[in-house]
Amino acid sequence: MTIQTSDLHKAYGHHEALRGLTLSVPEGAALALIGANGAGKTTTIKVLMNILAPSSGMATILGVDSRRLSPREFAQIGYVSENQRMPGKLTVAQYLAHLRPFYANWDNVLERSILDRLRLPPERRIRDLSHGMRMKMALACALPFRPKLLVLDEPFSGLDPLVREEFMESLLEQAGSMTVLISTHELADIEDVATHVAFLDDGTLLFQEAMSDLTGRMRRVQIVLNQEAIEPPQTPPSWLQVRALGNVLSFVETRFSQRELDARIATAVAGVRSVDVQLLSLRSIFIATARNAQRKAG
Amino acid sequence: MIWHLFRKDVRLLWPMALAVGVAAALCAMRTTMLGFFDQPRALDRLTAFLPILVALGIAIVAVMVVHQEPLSGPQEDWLIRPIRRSDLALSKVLFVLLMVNVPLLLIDVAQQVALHFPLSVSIEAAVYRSVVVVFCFSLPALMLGVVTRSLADAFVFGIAAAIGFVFVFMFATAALNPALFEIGGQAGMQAGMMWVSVWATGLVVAIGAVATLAFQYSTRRTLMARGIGLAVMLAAMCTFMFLPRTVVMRIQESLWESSPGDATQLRFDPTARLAGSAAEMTPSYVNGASLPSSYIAARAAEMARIGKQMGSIRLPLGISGLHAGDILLADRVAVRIQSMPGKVLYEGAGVCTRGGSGVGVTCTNNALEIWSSTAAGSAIASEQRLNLPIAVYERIKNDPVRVEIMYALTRLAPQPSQAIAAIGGRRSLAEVGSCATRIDDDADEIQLGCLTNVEVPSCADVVLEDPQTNRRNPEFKLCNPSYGPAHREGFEDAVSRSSLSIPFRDPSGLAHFPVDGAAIERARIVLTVYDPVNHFRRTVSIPSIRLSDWQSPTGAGSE
Repeated sequence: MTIQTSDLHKAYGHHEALRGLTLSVPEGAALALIGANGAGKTTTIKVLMNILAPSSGMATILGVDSRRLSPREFAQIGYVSENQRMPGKLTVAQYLAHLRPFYANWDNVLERSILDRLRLPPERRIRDLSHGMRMKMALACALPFRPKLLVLDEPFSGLDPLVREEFMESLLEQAGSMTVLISTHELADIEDVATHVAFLDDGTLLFQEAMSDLTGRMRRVQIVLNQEAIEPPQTPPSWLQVRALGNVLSFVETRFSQRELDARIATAVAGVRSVDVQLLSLRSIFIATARNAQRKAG
Repeated sequence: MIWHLFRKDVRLLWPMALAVGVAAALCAMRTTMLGFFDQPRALDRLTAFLPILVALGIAIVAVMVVHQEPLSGPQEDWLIRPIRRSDLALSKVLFVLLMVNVPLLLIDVAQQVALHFPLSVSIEAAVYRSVVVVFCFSLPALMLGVVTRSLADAFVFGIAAAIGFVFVFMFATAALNPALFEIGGQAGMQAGMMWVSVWATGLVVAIGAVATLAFQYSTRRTLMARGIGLAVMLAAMCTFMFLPRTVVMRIQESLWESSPGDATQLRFDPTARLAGSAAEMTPSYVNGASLPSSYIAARAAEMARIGKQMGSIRLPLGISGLHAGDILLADRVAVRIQSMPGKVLYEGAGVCTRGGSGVGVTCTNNALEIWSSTAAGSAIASEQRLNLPIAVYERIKNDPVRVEIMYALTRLAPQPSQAIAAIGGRRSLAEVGSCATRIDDDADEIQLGCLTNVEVPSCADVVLEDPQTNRRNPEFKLCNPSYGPAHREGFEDAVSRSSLSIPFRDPSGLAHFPVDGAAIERARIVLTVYDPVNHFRRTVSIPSIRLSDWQSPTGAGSE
């Protein structure tokens, strides 16, 4: 495992931002860490990067305790964050030149190609860059040394679609066999990148699984009834967001298999005229899961 | 990587470092332009802010260089770079040393050389001042930098901490028993060993600052680091105020080379007559500079108030073995009073009393300062004034007691006298520096002004003399001993200014000076400096006396 956490807790005063997080990211995977605002995604990443110390629990990165990460490990980790503070007085070129000696694997050719692709002006001071440019700058500083692990914390926040596209293209081009951990709200952008998904809610991991498994088991189901639809008093636990509108009953099935779905419908609903089953986008999965978590939290 | 990080900081902060250097150069030019007599006053007043600006600049640059890679923020890019924390910390220290302290050192040397001081002495003085600047400004500022996130944050935290320490000091002096201060720096203000307390305080600051830097760079636990930083400053304050004088004495004595046995002897001489009154004159001059009348009146009132809190006795002393012209100076006069069966009733070296407003402590030490003018070996009759807390004195004054007075003494020997013309004189005086003379604006005093880059002598006597008639005005006898091994540090720069005003005419016409206006054109100032030649201890034992028999008519003692 490139990243492994075990019963990780982090508290800010009385507020517990992480509550026993246990997470693993296999080597070569691209794990999307998703969750609502305040779910603990950024805290998780900052604890993993040893920017924040955990209150308790354990995290290992590249096989090393996160609290003991040394320059040796950091030389293999690329990090991009929406709030990353770089020395504003330096120009793009000066800062890249400053970083080069720290990385034995720094590839100047790759650096130039990334700069060209991202269209970053080398002579401009970092403080004069727009937010989008600054995010691209952070990416340009994270890729030329071909990191084993790339950590992206809300990289698309505040970026327009064009910049997001450029950002993703550069990322995909260089991703190769690196392990990627990405926290984001822009689920559509990572749908094609993420191989694994972890869902955080209020500091707790609700689930973590391979993207294919997740999209395989989640479906939107619409049942057209012969009579006006009403929400069944007892719905199967695998159904989320059950809604009745006219003679249509809709819900999200979280443990989809055609045979089991048919059996559950037969048990819970009478007078079925037709059943329509649709694939769910990652965004829809996120919304369904987040709303369910909010409903449970009361 | 230290050098690489250093160069990045240079690229970013060279204008700030340059500004500090320019301010320091202006400061040095200011001292040079103001010359021997601190004139013109307008220039002095207009540029008085410069030394503060330099000190502030040194601190700001140190804070800013640390803030290039702040330790307390969670958003900093450097945190996820393969940068060794020790390299980062050392690069910051290197920056402060090379970009601030070395330029300051060079400016100091240039200034002294421009004033015709010898190069080797100039370098030595500049290096010493650099060490002081590093200890007093740079290291504490680096410490402030590592526990704050921005310059504004540093200002707020620094000012809040300073206000807090003022309150702690006020609380300590208002709430603690004043006797506690007798052991510390407060009591040693006038002593030549004051430097030990100052250096110990500097050492605490330096060690504490290094520890805070190391802790914060290795753990980034800002709250804890702030606690350590505040504790360091508190420890420094306590070191200065409460470092026991016995420890100070021991340190000082370990540095003094073992002296051959001194012939000087002291004994209680009950047959000798005491002078009629021991009333202390309230000083109207400090180092020859006249004091305002309001200050003199306030000082007299304060001494009277202190006098009421002390019981003082005067004991006649016979002193023998001093060489002609020597000065005998007591660095500490401790007294132990025992009852006849041997029970210790009191031990101390002076009395500390709370300030008039309830805040602050004033310590009145037992003192002894003998200027010998007799032939070698002959006895000198003098007296020892001992100050006791009034409660102790009242309790035991009528009982027979045994008194032991334990002296730590320094004998100072006169150096060959030097003379300088009273008007328009300009010459270099050994141990004093480069000096000049003139008549003051009121035409009633001769002003002697000196610029120096070394420690001024412990004691000096200065007299206005008419070489034609050999008549002399009353001597000025000045003692401000310092036994420190290093050069005197100037706050503004490496050169410090000292001045002395010697009256030759009384505007009221009441006093007449032997060397007056008529002879002043040909008069000269004769200056004799005294250097320590021997440090030793003596004890005077008095088997049985009654204190009330030796009560001083006034309470207020010497300070």
